[in-house]
Amino acid sequence: MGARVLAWAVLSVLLVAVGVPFYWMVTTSLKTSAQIQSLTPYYYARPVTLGNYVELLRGTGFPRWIRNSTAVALGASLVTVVVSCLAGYSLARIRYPGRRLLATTVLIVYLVPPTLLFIPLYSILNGLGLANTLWALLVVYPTFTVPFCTWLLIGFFRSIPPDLEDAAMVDGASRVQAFHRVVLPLAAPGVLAAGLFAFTLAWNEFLYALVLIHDTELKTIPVGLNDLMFGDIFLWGQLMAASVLTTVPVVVLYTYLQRYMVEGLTAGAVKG
Amino acid sequence: MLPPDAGIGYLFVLPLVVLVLLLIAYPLGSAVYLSLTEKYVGYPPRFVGLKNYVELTGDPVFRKVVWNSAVFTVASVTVKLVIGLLMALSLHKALFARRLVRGILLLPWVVPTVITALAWHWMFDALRGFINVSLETLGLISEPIAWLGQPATAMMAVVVVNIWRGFPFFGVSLLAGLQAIPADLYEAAAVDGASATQRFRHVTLPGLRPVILVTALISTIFTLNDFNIVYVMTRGGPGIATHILATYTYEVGFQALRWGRAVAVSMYLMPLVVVMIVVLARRLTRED
Amino acid sequence: MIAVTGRRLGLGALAVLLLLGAGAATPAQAQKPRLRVWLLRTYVPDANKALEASIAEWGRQKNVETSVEYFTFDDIETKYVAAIETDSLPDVGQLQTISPSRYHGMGRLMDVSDVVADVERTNGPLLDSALPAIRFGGRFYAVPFNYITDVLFVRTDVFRKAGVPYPKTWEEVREAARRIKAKGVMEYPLGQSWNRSADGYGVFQALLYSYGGGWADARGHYKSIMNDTWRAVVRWASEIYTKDRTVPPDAMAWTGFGNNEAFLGGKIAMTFNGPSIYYVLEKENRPLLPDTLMLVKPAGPAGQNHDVFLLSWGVFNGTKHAELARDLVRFLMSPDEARKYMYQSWGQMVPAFEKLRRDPYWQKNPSYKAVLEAPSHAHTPGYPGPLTPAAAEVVATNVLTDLCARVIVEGWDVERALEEADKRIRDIYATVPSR
Repeated sequence: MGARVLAWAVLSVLLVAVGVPFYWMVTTSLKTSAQIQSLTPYYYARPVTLGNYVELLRGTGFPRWIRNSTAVALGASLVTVVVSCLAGYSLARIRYPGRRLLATTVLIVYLVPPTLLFIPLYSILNGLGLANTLWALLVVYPTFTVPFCTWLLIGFFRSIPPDLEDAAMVDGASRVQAFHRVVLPLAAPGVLAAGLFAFTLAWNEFLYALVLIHDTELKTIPVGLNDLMFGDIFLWGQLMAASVLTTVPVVVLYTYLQRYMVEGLTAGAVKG
Repeated sequence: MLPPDAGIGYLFVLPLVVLVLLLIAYPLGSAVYLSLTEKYVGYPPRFVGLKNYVELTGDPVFRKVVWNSAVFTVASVTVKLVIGLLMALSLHKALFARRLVRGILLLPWVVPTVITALAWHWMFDALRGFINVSLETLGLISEPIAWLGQPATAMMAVVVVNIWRGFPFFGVSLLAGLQAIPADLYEAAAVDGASATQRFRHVTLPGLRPVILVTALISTIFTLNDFNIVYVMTRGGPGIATHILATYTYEVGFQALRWGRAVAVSMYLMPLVVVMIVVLARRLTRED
Repeated sequence: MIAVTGRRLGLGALAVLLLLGAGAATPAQAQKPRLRVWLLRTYVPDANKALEASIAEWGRQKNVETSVEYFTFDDIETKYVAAIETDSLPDVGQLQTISPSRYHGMGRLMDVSDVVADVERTNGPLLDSALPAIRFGGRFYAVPFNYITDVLFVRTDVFRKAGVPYPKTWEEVREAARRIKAKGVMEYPLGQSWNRSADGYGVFQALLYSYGGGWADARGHYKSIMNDTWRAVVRWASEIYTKDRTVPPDAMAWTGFGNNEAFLGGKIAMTFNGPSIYYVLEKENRPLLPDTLMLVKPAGPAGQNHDVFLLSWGVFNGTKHAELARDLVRFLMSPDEARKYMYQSWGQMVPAFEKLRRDPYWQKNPSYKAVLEAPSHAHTPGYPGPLTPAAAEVVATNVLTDLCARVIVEGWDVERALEEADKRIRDIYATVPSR
């Protein structure tokens, strides 16, 4: 009982810490630019205006940016989850020569920031004929999401006791079936987490989207947000409106996706 | 003598290998090479060996940048880990509205970092920011605090923002880790007469350890390379008080146009982090 | 598992379709030549659109397909550096003050002296202050489009209330701030930050050149800064913080918009900035508009010397349509087209050529007159020498503003800070490549 009270105390503090800045973002998105800069009223919007949202959706490329970002992030996180699950399981569970070196290398290559990798990457993409297309991002984003998710999944897979798979294999299941029916269901929250992180990493990535793509039609959200900041004038209202519109859907999706995920993966286990 | 399922092992890991070799190894190799050259943007590179690294080591500005990065990273990751753990444990216990709370607590991670940094920049503003205005309204301060105008408080501010942005990563990962620990382990421990604290120490923590280690390592790498928060909030200022490796690399590469040196800046700490990775890899791929 | 797999595959297919749909924006095979133009996205959307319209019009007339891409003040270097290193520069691009010198040094810019000559014939002579930024070895490598002038913004009502006259020298600026504060009219009247933006390094140069200081000699070689002029300049820059306390306490951490917002929010009475503040006041008819005045920057012992922020057109060497590119620039610079842009610019587009400068647009009010006048007394980085890639790097790497920060934020004494800056400048000049 005491534990639950403590848990709620902690969560309340965190909710306030998250809520206050987010409240500020939402209120700002509902203020006119005169209100924002004159700072009156300060803690709330009066009058409340949806003008920023309207202007954002109609007067900027925002709908396009959303479409581009969604396509790229979905695609990249799908690729990432598949590659990382397989690789993560292999590195965590199966013994073969070279696995340690591979695991280490995968993460070491991750150390170099994109700022320095984009030039050689551009040449590769140019060679593949993908420069200035969204495919370029789809190909490039896994380079930083996959190492990240692979290691995350190694961690998740490692935290599941091996006896369960061993038991299944003793009962006649192959390694692949054990992976599919025993490990994946248990690791479902982890797989979803990894997918979510891959998605948000791709969703928020800026530099590659800025330098690998020229067409205004193909801008992603972070690059598009630049359009709302011209040197020393910032369209605060629209920026905050963009923030609300790009954040809330992702959170809503994640909140409700887990049930499907867990159910789906667990169903396999029950049948197996 | 290869173990029987080595074939599956290699097959599963093949896509990863292809990705790494094709798209990462070449750029990485090229980056290492560039760090050994005196490459100026728009001009061909000129090999100079370790000159960049030597010059950086003797440069007081760079040394301060490294120090700033160390402070920024260690402080952020440590606090994020603690908060994330608290968040995961609390969510695990709280059954009411768990999904909703978990969703809300995810917000800081999902908001585009640029906007987070801008919002917090405003909150910390001395004359108009939320923090000072509220403190003044409550009568707690009489003179505005120059949060971002003083080295110590500026560093604290960017650390706070990094923590705010990053704790959901730890929270969600650790929660997933908690949920992966099979319930019967707890039952068995309870049957054996273990108290709550003992169950935590002997079931929870060991079960969570791989996830803790991995998220801490990944977060460290991420935080070391973090650019947006400092760039948007202070540009590395006031002066160079919050200049970290990522912002310094950017300045040297894109403003001074000294590309070779910029790569050397970001590669400088690689040996240290490589050691960390090797140690961790050994731990995580160890036979039990 | 099936349910989830199915869902995942469904999502994946959706992603692919979206991508294909998005990627299908690639243009069909066209017989028309295609010209890529890079423009600065300025804070005046009307002006940006006017320029885009001009470019489109030219495309129609010449039967050329034009494609416009924007960069902002913040990512201009990122985009150009990326394009240089990946060989994907546009055909025509707008350049900021220090860029022609640097890119010419890399051999990326075409000689456009003929275009400049043509423009001078139709638009009148060029302002002297633009020359060092675009002319190298007697040939022109960029065509100056407009200045974005930095001026002194004052709150006339605050000055009236405090009984203080508008400052004409840098010393008077300090004095005015002190008096406004002493009279209790405003706590932090002066909003000047030595930060990593044009507000920082631009104003510092205006201050420096007005005192007769510089870090290079007339031939463009490094000259030591350990002298009394520099000491006086750094003292001015730091004492407004450390002694007068007339600057907001966190001003050193402002980024580009900090002073704008402080002025618009009524927190400061004086600041140096481009016309963007005035644009917001005019466009939205804010209450502060009648109380705001733009003045030319103050003078120092060596006269009234300002800094230059110049936007010019460059034609890049990799272009496959050199003649078309030059023609586009000629078109955009023609008095009619340029005038269209100017009228939409709300004071932002200060012409570099004589004819447009004499346009009645600029006689609108004293503020606009000040904006027009300022570039006549201005100097480019590296003054009194030419704008070399080394001078460009001194500005781009924040040596000047870091110098002030050392004294103000870290409490270094002026001498020590000057020594560090001196060494940095010396190293830059010793190692920067150039032709």
